[in-house]
Amino acid sequence: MSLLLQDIRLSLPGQVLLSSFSLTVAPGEIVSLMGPSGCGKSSLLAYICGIAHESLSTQGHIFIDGQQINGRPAHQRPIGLMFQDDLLFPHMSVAGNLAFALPRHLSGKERRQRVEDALNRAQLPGQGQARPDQLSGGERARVSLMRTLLAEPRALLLDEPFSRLDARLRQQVRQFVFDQARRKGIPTLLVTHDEQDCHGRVISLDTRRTNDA
Amino acid sequence: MGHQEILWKRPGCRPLAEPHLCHLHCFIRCFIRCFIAIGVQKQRGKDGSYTTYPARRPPAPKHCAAIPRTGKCVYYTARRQPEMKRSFSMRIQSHFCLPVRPAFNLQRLLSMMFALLLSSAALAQHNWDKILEQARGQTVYMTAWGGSESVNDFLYWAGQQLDKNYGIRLHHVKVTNISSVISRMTAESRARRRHGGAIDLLWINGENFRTLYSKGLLYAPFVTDLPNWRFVDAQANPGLVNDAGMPTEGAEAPWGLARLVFMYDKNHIENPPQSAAQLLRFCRTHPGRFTYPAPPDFVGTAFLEQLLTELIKDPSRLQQPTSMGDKDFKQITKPLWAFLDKLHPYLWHAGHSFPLSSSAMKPLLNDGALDIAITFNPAEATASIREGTLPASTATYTHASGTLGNTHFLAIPKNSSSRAAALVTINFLLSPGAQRRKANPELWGDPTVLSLDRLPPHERQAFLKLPHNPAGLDIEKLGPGLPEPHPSWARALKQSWLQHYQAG
Amino acid sequence: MLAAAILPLVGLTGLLASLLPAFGWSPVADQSPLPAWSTLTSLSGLTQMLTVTLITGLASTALSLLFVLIFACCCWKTRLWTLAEFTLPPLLCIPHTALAAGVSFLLAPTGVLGRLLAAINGWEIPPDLTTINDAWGLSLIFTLVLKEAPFLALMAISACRQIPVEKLLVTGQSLGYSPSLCWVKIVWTPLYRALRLPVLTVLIYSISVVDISMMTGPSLPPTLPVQILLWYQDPDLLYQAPAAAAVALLLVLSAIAVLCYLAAEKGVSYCLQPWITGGLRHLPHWIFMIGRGLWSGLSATSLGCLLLVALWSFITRWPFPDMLPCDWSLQLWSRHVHRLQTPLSTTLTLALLSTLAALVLAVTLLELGKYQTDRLRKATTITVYIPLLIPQIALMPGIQTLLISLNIDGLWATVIGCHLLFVFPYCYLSLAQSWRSYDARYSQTGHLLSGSRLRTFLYIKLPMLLPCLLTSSLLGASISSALYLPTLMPGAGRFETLTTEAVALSSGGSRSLLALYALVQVMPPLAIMAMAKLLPAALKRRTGRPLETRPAHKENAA
Repeated sequence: MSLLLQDIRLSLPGQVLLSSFSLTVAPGEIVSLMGPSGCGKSSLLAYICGIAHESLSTQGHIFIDGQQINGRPAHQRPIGLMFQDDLLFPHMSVAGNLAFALPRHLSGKERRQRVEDALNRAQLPGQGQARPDQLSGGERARVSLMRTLLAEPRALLLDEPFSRLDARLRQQVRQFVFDQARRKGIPTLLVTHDEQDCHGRVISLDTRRTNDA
Repeated sequence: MGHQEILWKRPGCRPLAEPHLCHLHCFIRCFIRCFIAIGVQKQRGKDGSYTTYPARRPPAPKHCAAIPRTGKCVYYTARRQPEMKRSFSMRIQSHFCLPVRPAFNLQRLLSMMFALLLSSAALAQHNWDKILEQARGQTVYMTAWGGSESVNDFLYWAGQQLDKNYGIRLHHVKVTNISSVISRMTAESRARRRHGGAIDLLWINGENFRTLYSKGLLYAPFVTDLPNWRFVDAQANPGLVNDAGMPTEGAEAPWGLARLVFMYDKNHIENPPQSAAQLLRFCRTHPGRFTYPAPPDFVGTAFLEQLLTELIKDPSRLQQPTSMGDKDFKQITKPLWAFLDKLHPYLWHAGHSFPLSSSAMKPLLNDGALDIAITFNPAEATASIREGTLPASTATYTHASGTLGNTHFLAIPKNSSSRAAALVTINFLLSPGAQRRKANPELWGDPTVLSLDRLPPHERQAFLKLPHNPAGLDIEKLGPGLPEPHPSWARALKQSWLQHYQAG
Repeated sequence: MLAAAILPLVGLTGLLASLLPAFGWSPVADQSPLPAWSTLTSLSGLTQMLTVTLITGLASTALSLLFVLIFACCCWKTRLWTLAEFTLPPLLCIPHTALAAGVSFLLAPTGVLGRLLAAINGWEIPPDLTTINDAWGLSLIFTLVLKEAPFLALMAISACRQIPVEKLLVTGQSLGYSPSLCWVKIVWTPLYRALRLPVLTVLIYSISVVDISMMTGPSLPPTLPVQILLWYQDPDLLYQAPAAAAVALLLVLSAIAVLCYLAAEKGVSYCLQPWITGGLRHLPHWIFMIGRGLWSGLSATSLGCLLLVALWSFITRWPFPDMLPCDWSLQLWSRHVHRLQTPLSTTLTLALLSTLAALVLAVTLLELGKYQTDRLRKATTITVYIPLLIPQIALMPGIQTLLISLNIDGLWATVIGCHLLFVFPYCYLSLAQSWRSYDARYSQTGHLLSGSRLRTFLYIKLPMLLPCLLTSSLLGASISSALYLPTLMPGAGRFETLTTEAVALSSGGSRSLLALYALVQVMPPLAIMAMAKLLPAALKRRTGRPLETRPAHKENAA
């Protein structure tokens, strides 16, 4: 599974955010995108997922495992996205949130098994019936990541996912996220302000330079 | 009389929806014309045509024909045929294949008449049974004013009886104002809806009837064919077959009587005013204790007509039509406006505000804001006391010279889809049992239209045993009933009053 | 956009059909009707009628808005605010006729006020004062304010959830302004912008209301809508064309009122601008005490009227000048309760079906509206608003004529369609706010996780917006159950609802019967409201785990 971005050009009316941006992310690799606010990081992630605002004009190609996914609508792209907020559905239990991400062709027993596995891996064994508002911030972040991974994405995009957590939690959750991504071999693109979040290749979206960490 | 195999269809013919009544009419009319043709003088006119007397032309014969293909009986009315040179009796006789004889003797004539009466009575009963059968299972939508609990309770009881005895479902559509019904019926006729109209039975009188009948929206004639019509004496009481200054011609059946009466609280007044002049004196000594509903409410208009009848020298002039622009009208109504100008400053709210209807006056009487209330139902006080909407010390009075009275009727729209059930319902409402319940002062108290002399003895006794009407007035105590003026007077008075007093 | 326009188009067609008789084509009276415009202009007292209608409309709207401002400023974060959230919805469910009857019983010379005065002065007969049905419409303004202020207050409460009120207040307080003055100077402007369309609806309603005007408004001359009704009810059908002309005049009057209101709004904001930035930071405390008192007085009066009306259904005799009724009984209830079955079931069925249809239509339009530009969205909102801005008395006669000529009157589908015409705008507008404030990221996450738009919509978006849907359905159901002309005219009198029965029975002047039907009319919306409040809480309690059973090791893991 690899993520290939080719000649991406993003522009808002009156402003060019990115011109001719290309990037290849290998399976299991974590690439960090950094840059000042308004430079187009979140817009790039939104474009890759297919949820970009209509005022954003875009050009370029996106390939996942060699397949072009440009023209597909958002729900048909095999990409996982994590926001700053965990966005766990408040009206469902934790198990319900996790089960919602599972593909449809699984049997009931298989579904329960997978949800249990996910809960164990998130270090919340048996907490399936709790509601999201009963969990702490760190627990919610872990559940949110497990939910994203249960949908079997072939690429993972993270939009400043740790900025709401305090320093101690941030370290734990960050390590957890990177471990899971590497284990499954999913190419990960991380947008962040914090240099400590960077791991592996770092790309600065300042218009002048591109560095490798 | 036989069905003929010929289908007779001419432009202007329209099929009748009710073959049974047609059959009945057909039969009777043909035979009666036969009788007239034989026994009545003929006169030859200048153009060679023949006219038969009596002077009123009998209606055209209805020819009944069968359509062989469908097997259904379709009855057509035909336009009046042009007069032919053959004498009328000869034409009839040849039509019915009777031998054309130069003369009948009296014995044969009398026996023929007797046979005719017997057979038509038997045929009528046979036809009514058919109507009853057809009515079973139908629903009748009856529009009637819904503001009176007594009326609603009565119609609820009537619905239960009709369901039990005839299998008819009576649905009382409560309306606040009958003109919404009239505009609907007119809109339906404009949309050429000849069947399946929304309304099957109407409770109307006066101007409403005139409007509908003149537009041809009512089914007519049906009244004289109802079995219970035999209890009604139309000759003794012409008001039962005349409405809004014109004969009803069988288009509406009388249901009850109404009379303008006044209700008052005995604890507050000892001698209520019994004429217009006494009313003025009463208002001067008790300012702010009397009022009347503002026109165009029908009770308010009737009150104005009552005053007019009392104030002018020649009340018979009111039976002729008029209009607001007439010089005559202005001359005649001068005393009325002069009287009202003197009266208004002493009215409730000094004449700046009037209740919108007569039913709005009852709570005012109940609360003691007014001393007198006006209504059209002579027994309303008794029913209201029982309901608790008027104090127990209420009594009723009329003016010494008499008050206006009228009759209220039931009619059937032409495009009704449950005509048979509507006929059965009207017949039931005219029955002695229903009329007795209606006339019971403890329930509704609306006077009956039936003539007690024509009732069988046990029914007559039951009527005489009705409860006493202490707070209302029995029909004997109502005094002389003044005839209602021509409807154009009501219209003109309404418009004139609004012009005089609406600006406040 | 086109889908949103269907219902307003139907409304506009009905309006045109109502107006046509004024210009010659008459579906009803075809024998020499009175000329339309000359009859109208020669009507005596026309100028006074128009002036009173305009003034009562504008004054009642302005006063209601003032009361809402007082409520917002003085009652924020007090017990009155939470009390208002509870008591306002039932107040809105009171039928108009019942409220008018309650007010007339309160203010009339034979009413509570008169009895108090009689008790003080020892009068035996009630004084002959024109406290109700006065010529300048003061009692009408009073009744309209009692009806409209709660509605606008409720709109304000829901608008407050969308505005970051706390943040604005904190910012203002950090600049030295007292909290109540922060409300007036800072928070009111965004709040008013959210309230503008409801206020215009209220203005149009006040100008064109018929039943309240008949009971508490001036009688000689009456207000213009009442005159229109009296003309339509003429038994000779002579006045159909002048009535249509009067409807056209009413529309012109409404337009003038809206223009006057907008001009006044501009004028007031222009004059107040220097005051807002003038630097005044404190107002004396007693002003806010008076404000709180006024609002409490208004709520108490409304509730008092409701209570009086409820009482009347149990009273058989209450003569003047007794302060307490002398005869109580359940007689009326026992006589009528079995006859309530059909109207109640018809009302509930119509309310349920029309609300369901309105919600489905509104949700569809809102979902499709995501793909529209902002301008198109605004245009859709205004289009949806159109049926609310046309007086019912102008709309319904034309619609009745159309339905009769198409031969579809008297059917369930027709009546539900006409109800939909009036219920849909309210449902759409109350849902639109929640739809706008819904975080789209939930849906985006759902799309990416499940791969299906439909599943995301059904399992994520709808359940999250369930409380708003329930509130909207409650609003729709209470509006549908209160519709009179839209049930009577398309239904050809075949559909007996509580409202049609109540209006028909109240024309007989029986206050007890009116009170009984008013109470029964209030019950279905109250039941639905109770369900709407208790159902989400019950669902939550059923599926959530109690906190104390969480194992201890979770603390370490976090």
